Amino acid sequence: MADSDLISRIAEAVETSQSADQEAELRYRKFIIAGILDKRCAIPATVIREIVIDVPIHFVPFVPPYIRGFINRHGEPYTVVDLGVLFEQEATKERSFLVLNLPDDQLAFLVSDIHEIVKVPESDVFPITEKLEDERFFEGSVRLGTDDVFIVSVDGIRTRMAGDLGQP
Amino acid sequence: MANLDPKDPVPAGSTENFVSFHISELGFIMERRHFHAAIYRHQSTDLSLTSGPRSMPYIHELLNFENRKVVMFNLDELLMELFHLAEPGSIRVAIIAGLGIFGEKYRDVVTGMLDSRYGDCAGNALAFRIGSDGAIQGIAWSELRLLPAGLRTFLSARGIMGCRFVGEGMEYILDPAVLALPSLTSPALEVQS
Repeated sequence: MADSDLISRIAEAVETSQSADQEAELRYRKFIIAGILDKRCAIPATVIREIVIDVPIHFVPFVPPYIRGFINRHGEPYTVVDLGVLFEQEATKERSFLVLNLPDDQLAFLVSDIHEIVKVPESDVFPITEKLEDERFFEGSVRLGTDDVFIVSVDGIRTRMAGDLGQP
Repeated sequence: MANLDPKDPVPAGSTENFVSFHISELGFIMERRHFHAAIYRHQSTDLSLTSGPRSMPYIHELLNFENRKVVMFNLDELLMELFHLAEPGSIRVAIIAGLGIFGEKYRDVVTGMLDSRYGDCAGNALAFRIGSDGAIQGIAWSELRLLPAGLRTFLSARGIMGCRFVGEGMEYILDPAVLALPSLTSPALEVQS
């Protein structure tokens, strides 16, 4: 066998292997499972930049109650959205923050605690297809053992904020 | 208004003078160029002791300054209410601004409102009462931060223009004219309606 044939076959094998890995990766999704008061929610790991515990919240006036103020992350202010107030009308007492990785805003979710990071098969993720009013904060659910946990919709929450703050 | 717009760049390393003060643990800064005088332990006239239709939100005193009376807006009282802050110390500072801070759009409205209620006062100035530790401070523009995009327009329309982090604490950059305008113009709207 000529060397060029060998190289071609190795290259093909590598490509096939990488493609298979990518397909396998696509069949799984990662979520951060967070406590929101006494409930659990899943937040897609792809939108989370970092998890921060116990930093002070700086109050800001005029805004809806679910916007608790700002936190300082690396010298930049991030808006804190309390998911307890948003979902259950009850303020979160703990100080666990999920800092989001957004291209056009600086936003962090305040949650009660962080339970775990899970990787689940795509077949266990169930999107919400009907856009009911109560479901605008959730984009679907994920099966964890025998439980179904709602997946937080970052877009839905940002849409709510824009509406409340009088922005398009 | 504070120049934090990225479309309007400032030279690297340049500083600006700001009036800074605290109420309880929270800091506030405002551009120095809005103000032309500051007075400590000022003499003032309590408006509750005078007669006439003078009641306006956050205006309870007239400041005696250079042989004339200047209407004083209690900015510290407004901020205490907005930010849920405790009463600051008894020593107060007043800083005086021309009514030009309200811009062409609102200057005449504010002038007319003050003139109709406080005709015996200076018609071209307004004093702002602030926290007791008021001082002028040079601050590098690079220390100032825009607020997150989702809240920036909403809060700047209400007088909160940006912020600065100092240690564990935070200072808000205020536009006093935008903060005071609703209180100063609401009586005019009531009269019109």
